[in-house]
Amino acid sequence: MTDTLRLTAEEAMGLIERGEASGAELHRAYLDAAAERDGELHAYLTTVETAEGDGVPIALKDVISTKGIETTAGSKILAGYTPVFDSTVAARCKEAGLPTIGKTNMDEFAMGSSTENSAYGPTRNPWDPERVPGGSSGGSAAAVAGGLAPWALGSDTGGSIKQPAALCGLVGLRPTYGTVSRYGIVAFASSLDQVGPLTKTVRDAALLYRIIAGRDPLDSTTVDLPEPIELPEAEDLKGLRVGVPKELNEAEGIEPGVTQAVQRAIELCRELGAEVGETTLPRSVEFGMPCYYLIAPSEASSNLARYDGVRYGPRAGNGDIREMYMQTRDEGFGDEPKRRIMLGTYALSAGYYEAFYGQAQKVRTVIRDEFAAALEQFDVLVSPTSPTVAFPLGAKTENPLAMYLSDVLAIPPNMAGLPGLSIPCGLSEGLPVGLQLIGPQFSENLLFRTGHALERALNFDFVPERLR
Amino acid sequence: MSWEPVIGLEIHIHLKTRTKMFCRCELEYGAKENSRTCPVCLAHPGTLPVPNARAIEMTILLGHALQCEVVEHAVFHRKHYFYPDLPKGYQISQYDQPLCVNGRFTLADRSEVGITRAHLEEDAAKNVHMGGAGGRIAGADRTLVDYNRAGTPLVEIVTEPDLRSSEQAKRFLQLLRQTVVELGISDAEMEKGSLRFDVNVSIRPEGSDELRTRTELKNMNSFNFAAKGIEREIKRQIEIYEAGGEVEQETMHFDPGNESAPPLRSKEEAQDYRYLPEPDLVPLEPERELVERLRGELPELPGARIARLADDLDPELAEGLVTSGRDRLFEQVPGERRTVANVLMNQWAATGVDPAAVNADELGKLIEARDRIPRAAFMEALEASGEASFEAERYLGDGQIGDTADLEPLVEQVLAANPSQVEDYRGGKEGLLGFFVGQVMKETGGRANPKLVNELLREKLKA
Repeated sequence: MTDTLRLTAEEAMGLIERGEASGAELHRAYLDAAAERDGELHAYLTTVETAEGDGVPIALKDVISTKGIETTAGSKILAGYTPVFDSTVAARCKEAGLPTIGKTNMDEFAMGSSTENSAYGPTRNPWDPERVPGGSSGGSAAAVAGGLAPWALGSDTGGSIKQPAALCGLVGLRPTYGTVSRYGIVAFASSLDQVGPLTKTVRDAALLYRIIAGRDPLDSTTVDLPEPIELPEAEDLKGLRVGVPKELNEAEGIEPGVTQAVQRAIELCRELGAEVGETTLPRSVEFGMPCYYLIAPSEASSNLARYDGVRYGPRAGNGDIREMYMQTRDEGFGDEPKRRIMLGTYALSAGYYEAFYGQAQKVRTVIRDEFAAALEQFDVLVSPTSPTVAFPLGAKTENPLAMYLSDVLAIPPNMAGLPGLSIPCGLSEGLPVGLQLIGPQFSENLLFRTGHALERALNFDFVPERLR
Repeated sequence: MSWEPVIGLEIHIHLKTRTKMFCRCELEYGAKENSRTCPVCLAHPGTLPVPNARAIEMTILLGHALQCEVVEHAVFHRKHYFYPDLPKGYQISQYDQPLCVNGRFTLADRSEVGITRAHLEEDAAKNVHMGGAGGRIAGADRTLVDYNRAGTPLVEIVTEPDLRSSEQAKRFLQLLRQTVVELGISDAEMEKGSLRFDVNVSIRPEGSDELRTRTELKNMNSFNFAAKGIEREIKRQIEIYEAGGEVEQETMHFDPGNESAPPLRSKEEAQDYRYLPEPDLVPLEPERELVERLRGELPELPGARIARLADDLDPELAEGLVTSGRDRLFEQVPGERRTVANVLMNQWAATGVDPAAVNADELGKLIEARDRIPRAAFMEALEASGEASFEAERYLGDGQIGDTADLEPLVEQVLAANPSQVEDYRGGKEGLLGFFVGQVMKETGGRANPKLVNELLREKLKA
């Protein structure tokens, strides 16, 4: 009997290679685990009964279009919508032989930080079912942490991979913008959306990133990787320059337990041979969030215009076309997409564009320049991924701004198009704390090496205590 | 007071690419509804646009033809509005950084029209409103959408308000149409919707350089109707100003069946398109090498050919030959220039023969001998001029018309023109036969075979 809670994807690959288990058997084992525990966690929106492929099975966030498998992006407006095509990442997983276990729950259209904005009910954190798994890729995080999948794909616009990875004690990579195809990914904010892995180990993340990354002719914003992805081996950090940006580590609202765990990890960097120094990102942290909340909703208001009830998805209203649009969108969208559509529509309106969207794009350049300067002095920057550990369900649903702040540390590097790796670095009050590693564009290999060495030294147990 | 019209045009042409602008669906006019669609042009979730490189090249070629600057950095924007013909809820177009800017276009009379810009975008789908009144969405029972057209590459050309008469606007459009057809970038057929245009019209006191409020005439369906619509709008505006009123900014959908164009959209209903730089596409930065290569591929354009022909001909005749696509034939047909041009623009034009199929030397011989050939025979010869076996010699003969088929119509014509003489003849005055023969001889310049004429007349008069 496979211990799905403990088995890493790399180990599962070993089982298959050695003929000790087949892809289909593993697929079945995870479905069985889901049957046992997903009633409580609600990580999956859809499960797939038949294994296609003899590789390590995978869970896919429901934002990823899968041919013949319902894809809702957590929204009622896509209820019953079954894509007639595979997204490029789904196709690459298929080519690599990875059978799909299921589609995971998420905040509607990836808008949220707790997976409570799903139209299909919240997902719960395997470490404590009274708490959120983070979001928006909370379903993928809970599936892996809860032993319902060996690995999963999520998507990250403003922290939606890194933050749930942190809150569920997992490794999460938000790749360099443009390295993973967005073709077939239900769009939220096109200039920020990026698909990436949620895994138990850094090596698993590297293995999965290797499968999905690379230029795609169907996505004009993708590029070829400058170098192949390597599986990290080194266990020290000799010669690495680690920068600690003051503002990302001293931001208001960071819990003391989080700071402590991160401090210990920074100390460990030194012990492993890295040079550690302080650096500063004065405007990136102050303006990162406000600018994000202009750019992301603006693009979202545009991307969500296609959900009009004309070609697919549910249609409401019996009156004229205008009434049909209004009723369909009123019934189909939840509060958070509506809030962001309104914000974005306003920010793009004639007379406001320059002051809002235009200005935010300029600030984005400032943020990019600040990170570039810091990354000339240092190879890698570190900070907490999230200011807090997993919070109780309902704690922030009434206060959108408090919810948004959950991503205040994850957003700035995203605005600069930089990759970010979150790895678990300890517990605070029995809940996982995430360490965010930020590198220059296309520095995924460096982030994997750094993350892997720290992971070995930290020896964090990714199986939730209550399930051991 | 004397008024001067100020006219600007916005022209849309479909590019003749094999596939759509942002997906790989093949373009085929008249294909079964919704058979040329895919997840991208139907805006399924997560789909992304990939620009058609050929469409970009065609637009650059057009930019050169319009003497535009082809910019180094152009940007696609999203233009938003909700309508069933717009699957994404936005059209991918170009806004403040179009591909081609600052051009000019010279007309046959050497007047120049400024080209503000030429940009690349995608066409919308086609809505078909069922039931209700007049095919409009208001009051329709239901609307069907054909997405075959959605995503067709479309170039929008915007002129400066440099045109000063409906006639000049019409000539601009004719010459532009001929130019894009010859560049091979568009069929530019109004019936198929591959050429559409809107006209902006205002007037001002002669000699002034102010720009007054303009009205927009949309959905013009022919160059002649456009000219009429412009005339009518100029007249309307003059009447308003002379009555002490103000022209309101409005859009009129011109319908040639109606006496006056009804106002459709006023400025209070102006759309806010919420332009957004298209984040799914990188900026369009054409390689300079490509831009220069395409400049080198430019053929001699209609405008230049008109200027060349106008050395020997009236500019109007030169323009007519070029915009009708007959100037290359004209240049190959030997003979007196004006005569050849006139025949090509008149009698020969009526035959509908493809200029490319004609043996120019033989046609030249025929035209040279036209005074010696009966009209009907000449026309028959022109109609045959596209046949591979066409020889002028056959129609020239020895100068005598001895063919029943040639003479019969003339005989009938003469009889029809002289009904009372016919009646008299049939009443017994057979001596009138000589009168009829004389008439036929007059028609043919004396070249009809008299024996045959006599026979034909007797036969016809018997009836």
